[in-house]
Amino acid sequence: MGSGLLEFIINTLKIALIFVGIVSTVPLLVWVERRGSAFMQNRLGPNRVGPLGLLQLAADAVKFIFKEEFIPQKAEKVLYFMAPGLALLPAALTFVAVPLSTPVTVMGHTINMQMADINVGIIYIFAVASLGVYGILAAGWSSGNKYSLLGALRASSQMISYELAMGLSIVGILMIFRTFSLNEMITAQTGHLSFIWQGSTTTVSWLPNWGIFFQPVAFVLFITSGFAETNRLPFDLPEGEAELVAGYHTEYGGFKFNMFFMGEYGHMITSSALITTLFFGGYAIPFMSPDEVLKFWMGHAQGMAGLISLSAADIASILTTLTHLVSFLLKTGFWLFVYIWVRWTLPRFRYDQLMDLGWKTLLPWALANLVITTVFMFFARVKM
Amino acid sequence: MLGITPEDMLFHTFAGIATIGAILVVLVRNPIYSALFLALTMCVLGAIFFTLEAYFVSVAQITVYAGAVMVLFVMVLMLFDLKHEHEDIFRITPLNLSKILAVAVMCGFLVGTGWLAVSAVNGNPGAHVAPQTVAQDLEKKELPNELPAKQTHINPDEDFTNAEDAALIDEAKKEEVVLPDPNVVASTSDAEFGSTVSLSRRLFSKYVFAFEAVSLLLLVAIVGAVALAKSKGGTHHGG
Repeated sequence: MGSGLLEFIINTLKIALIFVGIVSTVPLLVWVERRGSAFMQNRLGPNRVGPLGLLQLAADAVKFIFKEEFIPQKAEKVLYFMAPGLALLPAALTFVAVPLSTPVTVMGHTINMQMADINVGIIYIFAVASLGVYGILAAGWSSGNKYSLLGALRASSQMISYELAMGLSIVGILMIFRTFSLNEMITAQTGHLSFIWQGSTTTVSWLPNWGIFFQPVAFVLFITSGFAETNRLPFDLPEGEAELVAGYHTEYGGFKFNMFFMGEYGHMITSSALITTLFFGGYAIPFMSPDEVLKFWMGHAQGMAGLISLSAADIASILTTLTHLVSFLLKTGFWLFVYIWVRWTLPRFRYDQLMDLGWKTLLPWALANLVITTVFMFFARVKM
Repeated sequence: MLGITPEDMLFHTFAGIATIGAILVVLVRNPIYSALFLALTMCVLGAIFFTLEAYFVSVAQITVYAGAVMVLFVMVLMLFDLKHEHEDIFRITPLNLSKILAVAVMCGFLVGTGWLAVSAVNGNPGAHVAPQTVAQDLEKKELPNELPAKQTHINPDEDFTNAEDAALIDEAKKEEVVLPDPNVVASTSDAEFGSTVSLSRRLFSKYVFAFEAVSLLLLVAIVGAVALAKSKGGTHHGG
């Protein structure tokens, strides 16, 4: 009973920590976005409130909360209030399956640094992310505004189109890793780049064993459709302000708007974490397996064991987990920055170009990538 | 203490939501809310599969039904002007009367089936069997079908070099060898249940014909839909 209760408490804590982590990363990202865009456009950006303008985030949050509640006359009230929640929920749920770091073992208890180790983690993320459309559709329709509805229709058709290319793009990488579990994928990507070709092993000592070297085309396809799925520039047609005022969230203000905003950034975070996990070794440190990191910290933990009332093994385990967490955050942070970078670099697509890219370019390329991967794996017996 | 495990609680919660959602699909007047309740029901069914540890089925359920099919439904419904639909339901027409008749027949069926089930359980105590015995019976019945499938397995020495694969093959062999003992079967199928490995092994060996037939059916449906859309002057007519 005691261990069950402990597990319950730990899981509750993990849920709270991960949710708070995502929610509090969002304002930070907004700050990076505003300062970063200013930097790219040779401006200063918000720099008045607090050091480096960091307190601007708090000011924004307070403003969002205290804004007037406004409901359009023609709105379908129930759905109108539900829509922001429907948009935020999938964004928060997808992160459940992402492994953040190695499991930590303290005083005989092993704690996974992941909310739920689902053996089909990658499809779970796709499934839950595909539910994000409902929030957008509900918002657009329930607002009773033609611009909102048009934005919602654009968003949903875009998300459905690019989901297809995104799903197909990762099939190749699933075949190479031979698993659906994100943890096993990370394990497969440790060490130096090595693969089996016609039965003989080739090792490239100056490259890490990352997914991107096995599936470069899949990487390009995945990141492109990732931009479309998160409705970010150059694919932000659902809220193209020159045509649709603000798209599906035209009629939303205050905290309800903020929830859409957090949903979008939440999808960005999950998508960056997925890019990291699928193509860049996840939390693993390049060239070093988690065991080697543990061994390294074991050597240093002996001296620290006297200072804290924990055994050397516990300290080493904690330090290993922290190291991998930092590695994961750095990699994910880099891809988040790329999202922001691209937004302020590329102009918006036209709608027909968007559909052409999705259906006539990405989809055939994804299929070709799949066929070529199959041929290589079957005839040349290529293996990781 | 109350004899309720957390699994029971989860199941009853989800089952309750699914039932209420499914009833509301029919009762709600606005078709968009109907579609949204249907999507909710699909998601909750996915959650029930999830609690049964059939992760792949659960996730496929959510992706295909809630994430794709229902999104299209909702999207198309939102484009309609739905006000006329409201009024039509309350007119007495042969169509509406036939709908009421259909509902009555359906209710009769449900009540009849429920009554039969209840009387079967009450009249014959043996009818209420433990789930495990049912599973064992099923496995026993499946045995004759399972054995020929042995031959369809890929030759282990031909294509697999790596140790992980060898382990997989060994596992498969072990499963086949111990099949005759029903107790062991129950335990191995418990461990493997819902895993993509066991699912795909069956899907592409024993049920491969059905699998291919379904994919052909879907292809026919797609081609048919495109042909119909074209013949009725769809958007892509004549470029």
